[in-house]
Amino acid sequence: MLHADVGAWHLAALADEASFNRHYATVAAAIAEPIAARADINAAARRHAFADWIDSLQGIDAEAVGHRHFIAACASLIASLARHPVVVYSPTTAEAPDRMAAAILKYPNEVTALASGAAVYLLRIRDMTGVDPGVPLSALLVENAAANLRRDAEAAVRFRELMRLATPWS
Amino acid sequence: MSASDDRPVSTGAEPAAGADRAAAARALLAAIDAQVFPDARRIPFYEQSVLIRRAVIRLLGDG
Repeated sequence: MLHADVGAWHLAALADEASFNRHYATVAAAIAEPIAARADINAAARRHAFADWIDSLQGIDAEAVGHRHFIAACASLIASLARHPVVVYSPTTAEAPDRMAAAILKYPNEVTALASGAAVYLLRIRDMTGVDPGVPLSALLVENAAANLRRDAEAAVRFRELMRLATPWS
Repeated sequence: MSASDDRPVSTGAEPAAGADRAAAARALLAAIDAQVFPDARRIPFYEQSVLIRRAVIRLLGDG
């Protein structure tokens, strides 16, 4: 068992590659299951994404952090994952995919990147406010968000807008 | 933040990110938790996975 697995989950655990991998696998499985698909993760691409994310967290004064740093960390997690072809989903049934499944199959890496960062944001904000900052998204919204991210990974800075996530900060 | 897919691919024998860089990232994330979410509920790892799964399914569940 890794040191990061001992005790309670915390943000810092994500800087441990094994925990990062598990977070990603959990998100990918949660996406795959409802659409009856299998998630295939490219470990080399995931390692590149992890290294990019770690790089994005350098040079920041830990004594002077605030909520903007939290939002930026979630955004850079999304951007780092979006830049590498980490995951593909393969349908396990012959049924025609519904609109959400079609969006996920069209943009597997981008949807999973968005969900990975959004999940971290959602859980911390819900824990702080007692209110879920997210709403169930339509397939059209998910496809639009993913398309934005595919065009430019820097669109991740707008993940709250793209994913309709509320913020407790003005 | 930069990305390059022509970097040498790790064999898995060494960490993807340098230990010092990972430690700095860990310190930053710990500081965010301490300063932005000082009252965050301490969630066991297994429960965190369940919460993540529920959150993702709910977010993408509207079809």
